Amino acid sequence: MAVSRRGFIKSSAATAAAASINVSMPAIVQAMDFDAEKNKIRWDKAPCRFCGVGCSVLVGTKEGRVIATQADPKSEVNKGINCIKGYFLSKIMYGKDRLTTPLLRMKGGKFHKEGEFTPVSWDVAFDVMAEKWKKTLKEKGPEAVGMFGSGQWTIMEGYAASKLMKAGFRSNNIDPNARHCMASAVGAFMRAFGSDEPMGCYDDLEHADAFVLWGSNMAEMHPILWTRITNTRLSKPGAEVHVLSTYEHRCFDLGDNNMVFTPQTDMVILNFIANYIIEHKAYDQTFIDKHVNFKETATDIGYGLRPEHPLEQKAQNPGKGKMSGITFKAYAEMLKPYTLEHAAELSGVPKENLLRLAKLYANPKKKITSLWTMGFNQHTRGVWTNGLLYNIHLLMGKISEPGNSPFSLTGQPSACGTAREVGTFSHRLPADLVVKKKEHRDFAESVWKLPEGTIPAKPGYHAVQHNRMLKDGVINAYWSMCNNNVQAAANMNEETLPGWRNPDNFIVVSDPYPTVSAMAADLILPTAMWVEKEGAYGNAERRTQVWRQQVAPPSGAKSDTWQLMEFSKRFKLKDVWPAELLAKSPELRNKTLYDVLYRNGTVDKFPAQKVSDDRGNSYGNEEMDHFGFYVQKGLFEEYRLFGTTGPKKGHDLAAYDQLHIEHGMRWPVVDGKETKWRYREGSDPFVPAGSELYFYGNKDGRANIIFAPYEQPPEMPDEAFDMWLCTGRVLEHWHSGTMTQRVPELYKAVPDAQIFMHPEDAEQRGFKRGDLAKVESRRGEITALVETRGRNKPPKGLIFVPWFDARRLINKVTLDATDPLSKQTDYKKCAVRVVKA
Amino acid sequence: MSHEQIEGEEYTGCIVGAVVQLKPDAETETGQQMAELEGVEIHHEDEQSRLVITMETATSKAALTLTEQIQNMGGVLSVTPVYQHCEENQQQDQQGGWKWR
Repeated sequence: MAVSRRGFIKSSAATAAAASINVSMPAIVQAMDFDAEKNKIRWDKAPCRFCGVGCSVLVGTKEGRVIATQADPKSEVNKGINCIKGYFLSKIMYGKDRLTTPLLRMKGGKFHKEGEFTPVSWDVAFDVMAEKWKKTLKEKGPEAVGMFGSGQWTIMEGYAASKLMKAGFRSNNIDPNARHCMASAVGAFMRAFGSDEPMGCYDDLEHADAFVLWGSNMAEMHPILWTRITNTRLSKPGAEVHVLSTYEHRCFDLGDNNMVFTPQTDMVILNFIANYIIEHKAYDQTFIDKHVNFKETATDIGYGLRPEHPLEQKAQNPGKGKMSGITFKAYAEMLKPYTLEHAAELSGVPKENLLRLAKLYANPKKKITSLWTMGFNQHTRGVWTNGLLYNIHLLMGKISEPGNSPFSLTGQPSACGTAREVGTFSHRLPADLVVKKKEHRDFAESVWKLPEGTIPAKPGYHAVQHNRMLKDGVINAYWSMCNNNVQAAANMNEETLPGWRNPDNFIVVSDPYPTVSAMAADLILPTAMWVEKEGAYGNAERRTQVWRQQVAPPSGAKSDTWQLMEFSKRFKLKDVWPAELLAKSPELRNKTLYDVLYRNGTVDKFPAQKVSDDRGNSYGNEEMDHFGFYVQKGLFEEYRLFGTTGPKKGHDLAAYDQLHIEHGMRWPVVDGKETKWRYREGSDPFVPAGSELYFYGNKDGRANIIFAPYEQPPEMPDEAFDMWLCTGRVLEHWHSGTMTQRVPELYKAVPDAQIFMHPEDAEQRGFKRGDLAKVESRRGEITALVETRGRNKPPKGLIFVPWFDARRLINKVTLDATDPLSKQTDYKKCAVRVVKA
Repeated sequence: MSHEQIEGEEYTGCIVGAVVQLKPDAETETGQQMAELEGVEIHHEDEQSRLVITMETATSKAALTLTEQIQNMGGVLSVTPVYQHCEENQQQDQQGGWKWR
């Protein structure tokens, strides 16, 4: 029977959709088997480019262009479904303003800080850049160069960058944008468990009886996981969903117990629940005896502002994270003030809702998965707050088993895989190692075949400090890759822009598009994205996923790996290393950073080869063609040594070749087998036989319950600035909108950021829906339209403004207060007023 | 159905396969409303109030508008697209960037 091409496509679409809910349609076909044959489309898997969920998609390529995508039916993450962002994924590469040539600010034929962006060759771009780097290194040393990286970097890109900075230029001033989203989660994992990243996995979403959302709008931000929760809620008898937030959002549609609380009082609610569990003796005494220590932490720790800020001056223990051991009895005593009445009064949540939540956690028969993202992490007490939730799960022993799971979600596709696991933070090295510890530096130097003392011991500047140090002229040569920090960082007017436009500084931005950051730079490098290169990402459940290059980048655009490695060729070690270090390895003197870092016998171990799949398709690999060896595989396999042979156990990744075959694997991977629940015997191979559960990240195998009190946020509404401002994302746009705003459909859906506001607040100020209004804080202002009926419904006294809109930069308004322990900015609360524009 | 059946190899337009989760108490009414939308075809409904649908539109822009329209219907909990195939005029395709100097 002759069927039209349109008929084929439609049949593929219907059957794929049906298959995702386990329905077989009469003519069941799968894109991968079907279209390849009939429509000359080549299909291959790749993880989605957007959020931290890590969905796998099948990418359909025809004549060098991606024309179709299907949710990967073999993916255990998205099980054959996509969200609206993933659905138009292929289009992110085809925006009309894609950059294809380096652009340098020039006047009179030369670089000039105030010049116009002028197209130059890659050679000229790197010449000018290398000259600035060399001058800075010579005059001021390694601490004056910096790099801002990304949780959207592929694992290999992050690894190559980290190596270039920490071992090549010998500067720890590299930090990822994940500092803005995950740092508090990392801090809490390390303090409680001694090892980063969740113990559970997405399988918990089907095993749990109840879900509690603590500051996460999953319906919009993690729609695929939300769909899984929806399925469990609607199909499992007795399943329930509790939602806590500072404003009403789409998750409330499904919620059985919805709670809107006053910003920062999540801490009070968490301590109330712990108190309730203890008062009602609901805790699991056996679990506590075997697996838990009790600690308290230094209090009154400030807000991570500049040291001269009055709030820092006032704090007793600014930045202190010191913990000391206490007894269970002492812990119980500290919780006593957190009564139901106190929690209800401070949070504004009715008592019956709080009680229902407390009873849920205290019920030993209910399996509970708690989920959170930026509500906990972008919080001036983020590390503490993450910890307060672990306290509850640990008191009840509800952890590391199917369905019982405190689960920290992530925002970026490789915040875990690249930023955290590779350790592109200013204080970290791969696989949970830190620059501060000599043993860890020694190990990294041995893997990298570099002399002892190459890696500096002092942590570098963290993300927020980068901008402060640029403004103060302490960092002068700065490279920003794969992120949009001018738009993303808080307090743009007072810190970011003065730093970037400081005449003493040379700023480079690598990006596929002319972002706000690119426009604020001195040199823009056009960059390949997503499936224009081979790569790997690691998602929120410890799953590593690898993909092949599907299409060539536009002519002139180069991958971050290419840029890093090419740039490294311009430095001889004698130009960048001090004499005493060179004296330890005189044979390295005249070698380039490229020779030493990437042609060290490990990274260049795998010769160039044809990249093909088991279906007979072949693929390009620009970097392999250019450098003459299998760059991605070499970088990954060298990096993998940190997990398989390093001092911290339980970080073993799967071999690169295996990851090409599997649709992602969750580490630790030992003998080709993944781990679903860490620390649990039978699931995690690192747990000693007979111990049932062992938190081996800590020396004594125990997790820490850490008491922390409620402390106020740095800025609260007052007479002059009478409202809370909370910022965040919306479904159609992802982060700063660099990519999604180039998908016309998504741009059209939500073209402008709005001020979401309670109708009575609007009326009181004389606004109607759609009126133009001005949001002012002590730092800056923006104007936008008032929305009183949208999907986000703030309570009275709070407004919500999304931050994707490059023309309405809400971060002129936000405060750059951070968690003093994690250095992560609190974008969720500051004081503003809304007035007529 | 808004498109003529066209035989042959060439295809211009956008076809999307999706699963729609309805609120169990509103399924009949919502399902009927949805069936009336131009370009939407319902292929299957399961016992968990989930519909398998295809959407067919001239452009991907129209596909998104349609998806949004369904998402905003009262009885709809979620729309999860599974498959999209869009072959359009590339000029039409490349929009949304902003002008810069």
